Amino acid sequence: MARFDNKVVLVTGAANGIGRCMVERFLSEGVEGVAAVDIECRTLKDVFADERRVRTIPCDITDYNAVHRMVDEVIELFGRIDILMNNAGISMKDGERYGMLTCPKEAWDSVVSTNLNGSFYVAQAVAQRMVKANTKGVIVNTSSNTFRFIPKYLGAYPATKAAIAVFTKQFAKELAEYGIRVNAFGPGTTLTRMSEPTRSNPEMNEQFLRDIPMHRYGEVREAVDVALFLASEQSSFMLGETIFEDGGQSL
Amino acid sequence: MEKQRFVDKIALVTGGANGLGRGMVDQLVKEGAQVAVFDIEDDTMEEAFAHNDRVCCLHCDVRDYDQVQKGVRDVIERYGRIDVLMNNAGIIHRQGFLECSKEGWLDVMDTNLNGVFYVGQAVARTMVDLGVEGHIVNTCSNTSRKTVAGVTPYGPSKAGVKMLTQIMALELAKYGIHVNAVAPGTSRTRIAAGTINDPERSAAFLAKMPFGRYGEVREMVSVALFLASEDASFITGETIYEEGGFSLP
Repeated sequence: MARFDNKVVLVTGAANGIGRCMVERFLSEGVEGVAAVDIECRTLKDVFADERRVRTIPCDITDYNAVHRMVDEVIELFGRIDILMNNAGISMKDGERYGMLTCPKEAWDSVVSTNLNGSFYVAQAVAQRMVKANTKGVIVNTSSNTFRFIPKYLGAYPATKAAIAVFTKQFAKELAEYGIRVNAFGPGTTLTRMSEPTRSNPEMNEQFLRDIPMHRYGEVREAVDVALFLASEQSSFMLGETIFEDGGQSL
Repeated sequence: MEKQRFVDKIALVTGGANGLGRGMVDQLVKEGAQVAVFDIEDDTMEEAFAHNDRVCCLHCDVRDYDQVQKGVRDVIERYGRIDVLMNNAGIIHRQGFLECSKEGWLDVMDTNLNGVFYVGQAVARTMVDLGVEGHIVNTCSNTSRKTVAGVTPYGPSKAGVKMLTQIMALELAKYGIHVNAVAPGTSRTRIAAGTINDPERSAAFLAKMPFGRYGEVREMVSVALFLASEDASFITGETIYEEGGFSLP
């Protein structure tokens, strides 16, 4: 028996990095079906073309109505959602470094709109259907360690991830009576496309590696190990928590 | 499924005769480990593990620095190394702040904080000396962040464990040693029996629990062993709370 036998999972931000690895790992651990959602699904569709358990669905999570249509489509395809990996998120555009003094409104708004509003829309839309269908489901939100370890010039990113850790607690407290568990994980700098700008800047790279007690970046696999622990029955008495996995960077 | 995450691992569990510690020993053995147990309740310990050749019981009072040094030496002599330390022994003292006795205060601090330091240091030194990139999991408690009346020294001792965990993680990272803590809420163990067995207190307590129930030993063990496993390979210095949302603001 695998950890996710007979489970239907929805993963947002599934096209790359941590989200994509989540889809692969769920498939190897017995899921019945995975809805893999991203704003752009062309590559994703090809990657999972031979996997009948995966359905790719394009959705811009900043669009409230589109989120509800997407979630309805998942329910239509699979009958229910047992696990939501609420993972889609963006960093500041093009690795541009945005100081708090100079961060332009558009750049700030765009990150808030995806990371905070979009994540809320998805969590709410899925939770509403879990409650309605009496599904004792699990929601795992993707936060970040950047709101404990405050790197300079990340603009709105740390603030949105702090907000996700807080709404994780709000959802957890309000959904407990329906048997729905909500937790989050907060990865540190992980070997993904998102952290490319940091890692390819020699000065920042050196400073980051110096500041991480384990003196290395996290593997995508390691972030997903934590996320799947939270999605599984292994964490059945955990509620409203954010597990940081950052090699000690925020100590 | 039952993945075998601890095959060929040597684990040491303190406070292993009862409750959470005993749950850890059982699960570690199930997943392939050889386990040494420290406890001061010799009879309970023998009764629990006498017929298990994968468990070795040692009388060791974690409050006693010299006993700890000797106990850890004995484990190393027997098994050659320690890969996993579940630094778990702890006690509670039920007195409010105004009436709390000096003895009650010191006994809790000696066991819960000093004991974790003594055992943690002794075992970490063997890991460094032997080049073992081990995992240390300290047992904290949700009282390290949730203010609970009537158990005066308990919360402060566990808050100390939380910070000690961070310091150990920071200083041991360069040796490849992971240090984390598990912070359970009220679980079905002897330490919580006073609350669980009193209908009035229990009802009042459960009304404050978002899940409306106590934690099971296996649920705490599951988080503790996750932290001791390769699944937590990029987690260090963290305290993971598993308490059914009891201290949610």
